[in-house]
Amino acid sequence: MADRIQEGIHFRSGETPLPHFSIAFLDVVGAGNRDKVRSCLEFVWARIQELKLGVVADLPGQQVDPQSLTAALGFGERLFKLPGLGLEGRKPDALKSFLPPLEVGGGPISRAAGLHYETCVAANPGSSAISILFTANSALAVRRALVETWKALADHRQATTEDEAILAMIASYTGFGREDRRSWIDFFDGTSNMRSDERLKAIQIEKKGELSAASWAEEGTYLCFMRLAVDLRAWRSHPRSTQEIMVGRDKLSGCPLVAAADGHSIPRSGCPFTSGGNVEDGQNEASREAPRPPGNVSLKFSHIHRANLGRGATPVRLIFRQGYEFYDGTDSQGNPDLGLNFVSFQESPERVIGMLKLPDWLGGVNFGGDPDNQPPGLDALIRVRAASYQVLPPRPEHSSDLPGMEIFHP
Amino acid sequence: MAPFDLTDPFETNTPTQLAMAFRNRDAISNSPAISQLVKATKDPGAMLQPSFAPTYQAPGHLEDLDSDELRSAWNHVIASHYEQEDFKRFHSRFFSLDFKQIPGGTDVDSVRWTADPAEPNFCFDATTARKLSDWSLDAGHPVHSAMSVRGRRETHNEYCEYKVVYREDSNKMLRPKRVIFTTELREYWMMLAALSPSRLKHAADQVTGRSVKWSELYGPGVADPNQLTEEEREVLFTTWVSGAAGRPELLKKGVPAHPIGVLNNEEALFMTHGINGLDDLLYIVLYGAHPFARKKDGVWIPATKDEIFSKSHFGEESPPIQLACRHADPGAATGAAAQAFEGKTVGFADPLGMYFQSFADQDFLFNGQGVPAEWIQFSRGSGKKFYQRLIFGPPDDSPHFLDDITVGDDNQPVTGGFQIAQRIEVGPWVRVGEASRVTEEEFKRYEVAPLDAPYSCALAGVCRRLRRLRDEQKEITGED
Repeated sequence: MADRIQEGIHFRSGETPLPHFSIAFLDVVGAGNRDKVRSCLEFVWARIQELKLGVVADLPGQQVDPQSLTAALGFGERLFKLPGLGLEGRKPDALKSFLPPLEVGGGPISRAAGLHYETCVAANPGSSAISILFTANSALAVRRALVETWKALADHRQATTEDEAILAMIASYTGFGREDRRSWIDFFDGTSNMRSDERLKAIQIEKKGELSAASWAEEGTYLCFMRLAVDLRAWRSHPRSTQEIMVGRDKLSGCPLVAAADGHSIPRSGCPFTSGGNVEDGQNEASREAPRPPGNVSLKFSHIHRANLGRGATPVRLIFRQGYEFYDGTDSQGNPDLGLNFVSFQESPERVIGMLKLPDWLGGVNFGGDPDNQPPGLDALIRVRAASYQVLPPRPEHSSDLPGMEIFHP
Repeated sequence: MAPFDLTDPFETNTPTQLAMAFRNRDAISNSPAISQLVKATKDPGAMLQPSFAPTYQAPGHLEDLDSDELRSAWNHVIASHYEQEDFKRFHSRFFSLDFKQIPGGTDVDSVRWTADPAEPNFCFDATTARKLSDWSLDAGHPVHSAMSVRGRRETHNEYCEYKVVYREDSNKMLRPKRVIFTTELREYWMMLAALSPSRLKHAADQVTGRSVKWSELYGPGVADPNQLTEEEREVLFTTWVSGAAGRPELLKKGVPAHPIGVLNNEEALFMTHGINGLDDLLYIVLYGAHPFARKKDGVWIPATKDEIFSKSHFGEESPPIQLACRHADPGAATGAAAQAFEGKTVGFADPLGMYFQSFADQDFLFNGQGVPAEWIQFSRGSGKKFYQRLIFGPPDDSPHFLDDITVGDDNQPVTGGFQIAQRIEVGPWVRVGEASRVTEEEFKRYEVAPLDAPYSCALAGVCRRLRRLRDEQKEITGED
């Protein structure tokens, strides 16, 4: 089982995700055929490879610092369903799409899931045909990558004298990692990620014993992306004890709770190891994971138990997360517009689909808690702005080659 | 034409022989071969005399066991499996068969897995897995009922089996009407069949909703099973309803691996696949109930799923790595291992059984709305998370069919059981004791090693068999 995962997915032992992230969603907008789409993608991909070396098309002879820019290419289910491309037979069986929003906006992202689109979202940008993920060491580098992608699309149209564009960027998002390892709700996030030695098996699409029309995707991975807006006002309207029961961890130390009742929560014995310590200070490795079973019923409904129901019990649902926060200023009410770019990699979207739909996992709940007894406002703590499943083909032999290019050849 | 061979009817007999056998079933039941079969029971049975017996109630808190003798017999079956020679190497302080002996025990439902067959999925893909798992040939001659469960017999091995019920629509086309799921353990039914025909019939009547005939339970020609010995009842019931399911002593008596009767094929009374038994359930939890770990930076860390199965810890010829690809084995074993790592004793909660732990029914739509509640019928259990039977889909008096229901975000019509099984989780209730210190010696005994490289599920031996099944299915159904 060779490691042929595209770059920018930092799952290997000792790797740390680069602190900045962006994602571009592209769609086929013209009367494109397969050759035209391939040609356009190759043009854009070549520009991105140059950018990784510090070359900007509009600054010939000048060198920019690429800041270790990485780029990974993905395909959504829509690419394989577009008429005229002839790609229907090449779609990997497991590749799915989220539900579209309601025409009036809002609606669940997946049937039986507790996550809904924001009411202002009437079209899901994540349902696009193609995605490109960027990571880098600076905010400029990942944003410049988006801009250069846009430029490349425009330049390709000009160069090929097409009447209309073949591909267009329909949405893009940015994010950053927090060095304090907390999320906007002030709790530690990503504490319970998979061990490094489990990750390749969990994220890589396994090579089957025989060739099929979808063999091109083997040894790649699937991306699940969700742009999640957080209602911080609703979250802060609840006391720390309520928050801790919803999450399943102590707010300050990140230590998993073993009991919670009457407004008091009790963290795991021996955690933190020293007063004032926390689960990210390197001294509490043995105590990071929540005890199974949870100490009492209310904790059974907590976010970390629901999202990790498989921890030690049902490994089929382990996913590798590499999330990034976002902050987009203030909204019209003066509230901070912020949240999480949920980014996960797994060998099949079914792992996430099951997590979102099955009761006792996250089925029917927005973030955690008892579905029949949600604290006010926390049943809509998180709203979705975009959601996408993309298959990321395996890394090609030559880095300049387009990943997955074989699907564009008859 | 060669005479009908009862040993392994569907492997050794042609369809014509099977058809003739069924037409002549009365003659067969009185044949010397059958008489010889049921009388060749000098062996009192493979069941050991256990040194102790737990006190589990009937699975699902059912009222089938109406006497202390039957309850004792069921616990005797459980204990006998636990104490068989082959299982003794797995015994340790981290597992207790007697749930009352688990100090400070808490009953948990977190050991669970999805019910859909994993093997055809990891060998091929979900679409092929669905086709193979749902594979059943058209109803017709009753002998064909065995062929109507090919998918079930070959692939339903995650402790949940199902039967797709077909009916004719107004255009006389056969369509899937509903699906019957069962997680009931065959050993329980075999015990009832041997010891108490009346309670067996009570259970069968409850499951089927009708009065089941003795001949359906014990084979043609049996008008009163109370006239037979326990051994004779066991042989006949296993021949016609449960199959030998890998029990050597039954196979030696000529009981076929799969039942040759219609009842369980058509009504899915309980599980018959060789893997879906009490013995395998005990095995996999026992296997996992050890503090598998390895040292990292001087500290013991829990073994991963792959590490648990990649080493022969108990004298196996080769590591059972293939088990890591499935749903049930990793679910059960790692659940137990996680507790043992913390020095906790685990066991089965009372009552021991396999149950429906969750069902994402909200993922299904009928006419744009949720599926009518009366189309989702759980039974054979005392309440939520103790059910062992699910019937999903319209009843016969409804004009609608299963494929009028859609599932998933892409609104696919439900054409069989696989799509439903993907939204079901099954598992036992487990009792977990209090934490204790695991000694250095205990960790060392079950020390695992990091994997050199990830293994490939698609190269597992089972895939060779399933490729043959897939090719056969394509040929018979005319797919290219």
